[in-house]
Amino acid sequence: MRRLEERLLDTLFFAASLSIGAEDRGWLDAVRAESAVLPERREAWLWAAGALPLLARLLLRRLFSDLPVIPVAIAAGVIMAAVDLSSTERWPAALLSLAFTAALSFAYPRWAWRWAFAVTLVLPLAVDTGIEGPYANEPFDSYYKVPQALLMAGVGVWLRFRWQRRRTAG
Amino acid sequence: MPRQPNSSPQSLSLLRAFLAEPQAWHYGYSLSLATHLKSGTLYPMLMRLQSQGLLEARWGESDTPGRPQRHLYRLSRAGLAAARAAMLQPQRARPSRTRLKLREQGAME
Repeated sequence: MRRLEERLLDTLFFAASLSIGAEDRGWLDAVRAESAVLPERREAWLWAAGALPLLARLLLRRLFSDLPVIPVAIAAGVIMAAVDLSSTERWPAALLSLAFTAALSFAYPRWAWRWAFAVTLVLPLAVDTGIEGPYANEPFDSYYKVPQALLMAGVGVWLRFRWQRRRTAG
Repeated sequence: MPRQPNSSPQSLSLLRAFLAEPQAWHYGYSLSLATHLKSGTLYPMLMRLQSQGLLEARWGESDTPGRPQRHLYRLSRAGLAAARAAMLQPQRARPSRTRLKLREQGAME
């Protein structure tokens, strides 16, 4: 039974460690290692539960890293929304959102999905508050840029990775 | 008045535990026993002390074979100085309800 519990804890800690950066994983490993040496099962579980506030702290720290970039991304979202709401064509705003997300993700690749959301969610927010564009909106229509931007964030990170590899190889 | 860093009762208790054996490496669990802090409070504090450069950490073999390596901690030189300075700081005692009541009564008279 204890063996099964140990495996379960290992799996939970492994899953949790995937959500944070490699530089912070040591702290979760430290909590797990201590819980493994505690003889009492209840005490071991309580000790392991202490990883939750630690994980929350690490996630928040990561979410608000690159803090000055967050208003920049939101400003990019405002520009994109303004273009979308003042144009009868959809492609200029779509192109802008993709360009903004790719550029931000290339420059700040850590948790680049944040930039995709910050850039593309301004438009739905504006539409939900009653600002209407020159074209008719279907429900959830303004969200159509989110998946594209997420994809573009991935592209930005990949480009950054390739660029860094080329730089270190050269 | 700005709050002194690492001056909370929990932080002082942790620093006191380190100062009891300043040169020794401590396991998280032994620190928890010495300070009565739960892991959810202890580890964020250790993390903060390390990010402030006050704490050294290393991985050490577990006493039990087959168990994962354990994390060990001790105060750095700067940490030792900071801990000793924190111990010398006058403790800000929280005024008790009775004392507050007496103070209020005194102000009214």
